[in-house]
Amino acid sequence: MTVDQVSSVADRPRSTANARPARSDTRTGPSMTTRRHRAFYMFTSPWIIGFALLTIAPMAYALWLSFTTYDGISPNWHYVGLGNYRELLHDAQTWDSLGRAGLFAVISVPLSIIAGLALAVLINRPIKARGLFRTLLYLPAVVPPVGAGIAFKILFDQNTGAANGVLTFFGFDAIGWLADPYARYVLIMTVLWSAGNIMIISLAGLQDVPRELHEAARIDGASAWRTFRSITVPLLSPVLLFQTVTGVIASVQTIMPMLLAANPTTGGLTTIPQSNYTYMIHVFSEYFALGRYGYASALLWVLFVLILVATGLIFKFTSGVVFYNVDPEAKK
Amino acid sequence: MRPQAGAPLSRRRFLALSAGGAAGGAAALSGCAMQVSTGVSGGSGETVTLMVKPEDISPELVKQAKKDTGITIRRVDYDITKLIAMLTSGNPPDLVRAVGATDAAYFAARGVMQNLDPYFAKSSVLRPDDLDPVNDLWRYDGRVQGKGPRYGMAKDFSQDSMYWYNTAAFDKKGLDYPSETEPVTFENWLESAQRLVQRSKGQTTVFGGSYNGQTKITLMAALTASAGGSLFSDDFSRVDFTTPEARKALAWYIGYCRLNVGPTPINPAPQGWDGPSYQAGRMAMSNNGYWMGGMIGADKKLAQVSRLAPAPVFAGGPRISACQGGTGMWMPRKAKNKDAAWRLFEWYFGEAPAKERASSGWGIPTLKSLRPLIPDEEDYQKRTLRTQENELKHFSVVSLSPYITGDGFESLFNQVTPAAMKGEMSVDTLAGRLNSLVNEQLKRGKEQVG
Amino acid sequence: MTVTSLNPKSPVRVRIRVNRLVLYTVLVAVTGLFVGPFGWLILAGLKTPSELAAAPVHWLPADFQWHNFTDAYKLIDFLGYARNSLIIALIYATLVTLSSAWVGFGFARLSAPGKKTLFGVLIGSMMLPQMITLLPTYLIFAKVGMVDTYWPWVLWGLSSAPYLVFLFRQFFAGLPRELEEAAIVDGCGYGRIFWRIFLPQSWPVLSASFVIAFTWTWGDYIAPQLLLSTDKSTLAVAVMTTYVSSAGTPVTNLQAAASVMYVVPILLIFLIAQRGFVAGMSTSGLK
Repeated sequence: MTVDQVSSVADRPRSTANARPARSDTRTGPSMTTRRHRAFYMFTSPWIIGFALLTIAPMAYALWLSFTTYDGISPNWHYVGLGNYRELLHDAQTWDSLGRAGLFAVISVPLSIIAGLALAVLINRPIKARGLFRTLLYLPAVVPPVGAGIAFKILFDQNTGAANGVLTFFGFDAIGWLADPYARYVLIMTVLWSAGNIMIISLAGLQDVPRELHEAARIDGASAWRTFRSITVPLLSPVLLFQTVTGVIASVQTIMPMLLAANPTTGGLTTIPQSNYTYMIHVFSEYFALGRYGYASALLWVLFVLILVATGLIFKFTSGVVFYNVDPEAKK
Repeated sequence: MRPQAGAPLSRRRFLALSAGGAAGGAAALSGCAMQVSTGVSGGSGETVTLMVKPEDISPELVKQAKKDTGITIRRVDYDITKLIAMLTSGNPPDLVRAVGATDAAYFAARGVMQNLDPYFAKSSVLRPDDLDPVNDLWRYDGRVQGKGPRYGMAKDFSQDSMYWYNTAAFDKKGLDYPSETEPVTFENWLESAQRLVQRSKGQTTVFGGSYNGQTKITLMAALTASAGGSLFSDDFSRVDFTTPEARKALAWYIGYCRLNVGPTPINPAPQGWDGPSYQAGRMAMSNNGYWMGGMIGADKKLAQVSRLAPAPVFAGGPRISACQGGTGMWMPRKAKNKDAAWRLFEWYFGEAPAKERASSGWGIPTLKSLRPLIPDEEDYQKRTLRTQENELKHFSVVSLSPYITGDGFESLFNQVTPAAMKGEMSVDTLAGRLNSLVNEQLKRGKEQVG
Repeated sequence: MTVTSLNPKSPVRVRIRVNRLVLYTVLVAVTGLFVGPFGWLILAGLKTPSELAAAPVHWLPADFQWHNFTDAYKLIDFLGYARNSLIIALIYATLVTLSSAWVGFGFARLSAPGKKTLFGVLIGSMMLPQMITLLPTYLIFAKVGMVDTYWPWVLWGLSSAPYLVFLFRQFFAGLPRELEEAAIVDGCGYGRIFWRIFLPQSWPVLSASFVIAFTWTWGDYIAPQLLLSTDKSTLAVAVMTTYVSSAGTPVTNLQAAASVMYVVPILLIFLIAQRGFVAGMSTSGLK
């Protein structure tokens, strides 16, 4: 869903003006155009102004900080040019934590999309009490992170949690879920827990899939799996792409490792097990534990650029695969 | 929507500000205010902003402060980032909580703390000769922690290298109780922990012993001091984990972690600290000082089987029992409302709240004159107090570097130690890695302070 | 394909029945897994501290400690924090919904030089890690005296949110062109066209946007933690950090009870809004 692909109705008259001479531009003359232009900026100004003041300004400030050794209170901070960027390239922690964050995204995002899709297909079968099941499966997705963090901490407590209760009941050894190396699985499970979100969106898509398509496929003798793969998935692909992109961004930014830590405040960052020490947590540590605002700002700018590149790549590689049926204008 | 939400707040702020402005006149009439150097009186009708943790001051105490001093307390949650932002924007809180051992020198070296000596000199509540030596953690002379002007004060303290033990756990394994007055060696302590631990199906049902200090920096500094050395160089600009003493300390702690007899950084305590496990009878020894007696005393059955024991020593090393905490408060140099803040400081550290804390058993009071309030009616209270009083003879301040925070050290420590705790890295390699990581941060810190 | 006419013992019939059995078993098991964590949280909120610290695990509390819920309510100023959360969430959700609809209309139905670039920036800004702006934003707010007030949420609300702008833009772009053409001929300004014609059409998206924004704010932990003093902070911060004994140690059973009380309002909102919400999501053109 690149910018070109979603370019709106309002842009179209220009490209099709020749074909349809009766369109507004030619009919009402330049004053009409000026009015539209002015109106456009009137409507978009809240976002433009807000973006400049609340995003660009702080970002620029962070960029400036990333060239300094600023730590908030020390009197002798100074400009170091690209020093912070050079340092982070040579810091093993940067790469280790980035690798962990990347691995977390690469595992948790597809898993939760598959899970969400599977749930949607499951719930789309003719079953009794569908509304109840749908609601129960969906509700965890709206539990706020703080609630989820507390719930999972209690659930996976090594000695008193239900997870180990079940394991020991079946004769297995208990596991230190919230410590290395298992903490990463708990982190992934918190993401899977909210797969209901993807289920709901996919379900809406599934129910919109034109019935004729399914019937045609059935008459052709296509198996359920083939119908799913060649009709359902392509029709859902824009949703899935959108979920992938937002999922990756959310997973990179997640503060869940902090909420799962023994001490869920910025002072407790050091209690986060190594397997959950993601890039964002590394940034937090540099920020809060070591007070290196300059260095942490450099880390954040690197992350920002990486995310932009990753998103661009996702769009690029899926542009041939993702299928857009609903042309907004065609809807009328 | 906007007027309802925004307006009452700004109105409240406005009232608070105007009340502050009028306080000079009002306080002169009320007569209860203390006169301090500036001549502006603290007290009635003023608002003081406290940046604290919830446990530092309860809502009831906020109400009581209003009743006792006429000062309205505005609480802000302690958060280091928020604090720094408030300091840089020139709008700091009037009093801030901090841990004396790890924070005092750090902030003092950066010139953001108010020198409180003139206030102490004039105070009738907090007299310098009445201050317990633990408050020296809050002194800094520009070079060394423990000397020079006072920048704050501890609310209570413990000697955090001591440990509690559960006699029932010792009885079960047929082990002799540790002495109440003579320390065991760290090596012996670890042996006992190994014999006391109980496991079943991958779960540790009873921890043999927990020994993690208050923070890793205080733990390592105190352990090294016990081994007869010093973790920091004389000017605190470097650490050296490869000296025989520091290496001994490091090796002992890593050994403790490898044995898995208690909570460790790679396998932390359930619910974040020893308390719940100890309370449930699931921990034989717990490295916490006197203050944990507050929790223990609240449970009569637990109190019967609990004993406090002296801080362990290394064979042949000196007997040292440091305070690794000393949590208290300081006043930012740019605080807007210093006199009222000092009045509140006196109240908090010397009046009703201090007395209440002293008699609760959650720590030793930081004023000598409050010592008689320490609970000693019950047998277990007498026993604990006896051990504690004996231990006080060995109290010493272990100075830390002003160039690194406790959190900073902890974060670096936790980056490299897990590999060693899992046995994937030798202690010598670890010592080298720690040296380079920590010294880099110390160097940066020193440059920043100048 | 007339199943009803089949012999009850016919293999097809048995297969269908087995299929249904498997389907329901899977469904119930999966649902159990999803409900489990929350159910365990409720159970934890009903136990005594020693039951919660017991190993091996205590499955059910010996006595349901219902008073934990009232204790959790009394230990901190629960209502006060809930009110703060509600105020902030209402301010933000209302403002951001209206402003995003307004901006989304601009992107959907109007054009001007630079629009493509702006839209690209809008989409790009969805990918912005918000943490990067956190501390500098705080410093800016501190300098203009907005720390410890709810003004940041007003400003954030007024400046619209890219994701919601996108939702509205997709929705408005899908409405027929005749809607505004008639109005333009009648000489209506775009402001009135938006307000009188487009906004009333967009109830599904409006409710979806409101619910999304409300839950964002209700669930946000970092911003209130940084910007607000304890008394003005939100329930999320209070539940996570203030359930401690006088020695600063966590009181897990009360915290569990409190987090149940913190989460339930959000669940209720979703249950009530579910219909419109799902409709809003499906008509937003996100698919």
